[in-house]
Amino acid sequence: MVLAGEELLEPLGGPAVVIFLLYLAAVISLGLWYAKISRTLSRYYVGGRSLNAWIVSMSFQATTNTAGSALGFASFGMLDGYSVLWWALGDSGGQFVTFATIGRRLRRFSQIVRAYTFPEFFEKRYGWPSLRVVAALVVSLFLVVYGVIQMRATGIVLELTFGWEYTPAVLIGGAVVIAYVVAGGFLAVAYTDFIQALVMIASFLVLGFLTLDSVGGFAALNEQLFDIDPEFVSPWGPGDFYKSIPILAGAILTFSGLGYMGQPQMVIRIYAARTTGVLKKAALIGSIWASGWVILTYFLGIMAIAVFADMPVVQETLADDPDLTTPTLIRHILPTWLAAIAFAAIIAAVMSSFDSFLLMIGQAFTRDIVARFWRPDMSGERQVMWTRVVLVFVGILVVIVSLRPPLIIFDLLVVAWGSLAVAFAPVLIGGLFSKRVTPLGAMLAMILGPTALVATSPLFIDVRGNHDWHEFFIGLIVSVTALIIGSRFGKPTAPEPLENLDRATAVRAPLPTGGHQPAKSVSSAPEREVQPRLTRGEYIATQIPGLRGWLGAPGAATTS
Amino acid sequence: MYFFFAPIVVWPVAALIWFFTRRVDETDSDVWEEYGEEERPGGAGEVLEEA
Repeated sequence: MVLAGEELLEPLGGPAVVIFLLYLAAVISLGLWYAKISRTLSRYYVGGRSLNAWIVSMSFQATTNTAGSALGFASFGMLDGYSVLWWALGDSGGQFVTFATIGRRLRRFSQIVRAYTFPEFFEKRYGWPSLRVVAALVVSLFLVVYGVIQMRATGIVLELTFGWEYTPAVLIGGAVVIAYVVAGGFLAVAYTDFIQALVMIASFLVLGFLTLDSVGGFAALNEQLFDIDPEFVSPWGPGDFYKSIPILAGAILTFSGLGYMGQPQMVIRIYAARTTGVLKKAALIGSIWASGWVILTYFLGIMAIAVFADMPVVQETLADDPDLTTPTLIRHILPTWLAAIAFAAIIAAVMSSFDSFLLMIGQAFTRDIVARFWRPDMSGERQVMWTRVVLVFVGILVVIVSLRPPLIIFDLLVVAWGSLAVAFAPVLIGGLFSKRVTPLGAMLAMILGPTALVATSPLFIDVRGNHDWHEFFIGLIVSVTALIIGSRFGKPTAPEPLENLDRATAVRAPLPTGGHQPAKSVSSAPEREVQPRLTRGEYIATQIPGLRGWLGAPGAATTS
Repeated sequence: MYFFFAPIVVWPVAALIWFFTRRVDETDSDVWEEYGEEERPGGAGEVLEEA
């Protein structure tokens, strides 16, 4: 059934509600299932570092893609045409860049120092507890903002889809997420994210193909777009907007790997991977998923220009609220039962992000503040219990705030992603790759970077004037400069954290057998010859035949 | 326009190349053998104090 007028904005009926309720029941069941095995701190916080590549990659992507991508990307596509795909270029590579740069070192370091939360890394790398507190506060502030916005999106989508009132819609959506996160912790979050990522990509792929078919294929679409406005098919967008190098760089880099490395809900997936090998496979799966999803979400908006070209009523509605582009397209293209699944996918995008935000806030408050400074003798199991209690309170608070969000939330949302990125990414990368970065440098970067970003954003003073430099770059430059200058003059890091870093970055040659298969667990690992741990220089020397014998490096006897 | 669909290829190909580039042991068996995973008794600051 193809709808074409005001009926597009009518709520879906009973069968769609049933499909959606079944979906909610499935995610709650999964949460309760994992409650049984999530009793220890390690399992509740990082899934016992047991996740395989599929779960790591899909949960990373489901968490990354929020209401902003499920709804917002299409609205950008509809407004600007093909040129918005510049954003996709950086965004779809975020997981690969993150895993390829910091993946191995962070994965190993987090296990060696037993870091279970994102802020914990900073204390254990730099040996300064104050860093952990600052990180926990920054994380909590911005993730609460994210959380409120996601809950608000839940209410709006449910209101639009099923005609529910906003307040009960938010309460139901919030209660479901709180239930499965509290019960199952990280494992529940990761496995529900996996299902949600599958629902998202499958339903949007169907929507994408059917929409392309409805406009007569790719060539016909481009002809229609050109007839409507040639700028829709221009690589530089309306008014040659993307011809400015800073704007183009901002579009590609803002959501690239650097941005991802500052987001605690993403980085924690690295902690939870079983091995470095898992991260490599996850990056491959994730980059395929992301390339499809990100382009698809923008492309839906581009196709919507042609689809709704002859529907003035719809055009008027979308001009008032471009975020309705995807929901309207779903109603126009898909049959009712499939539309219900597609709407469930949008809710899935929202819930799969909200659950991670909630868990990160609960962990930061419990382990990084209460257990670290107030009750340092608190056992792991008690921390799990405390986290559950905190999660309920924080969840209820976020839901209440999202019923009528104050304006400051929307202001903070504009700077949230960038602030987290400039606060943490340079400190994280610097800390993993250089021993010369000191606690003072880390602290200055963590505070001055986001402060500069917020201060130069339109939120306060727009100092950009007539030039195009985005506040993200200003914050990044300040953060990196503070890191370098602070490290130049600050006291060096204590030896213990640096020894742990050495262990994390130690390089061993590949094992002779086993290919890419990681050990399932310590106890089930087969007996094998234990190879000596090498420094990077020693390892490289073993790879150069002429040097092996000369250095007496391991492997010389067997290969010469 | 086809250029805009480059991310469909660029990132998966980059990830594929990385996947087949194997220079070090990726099982992290040394870390697993030495550090295991179940948390030790004690509070949130235990490791730094023990190190």
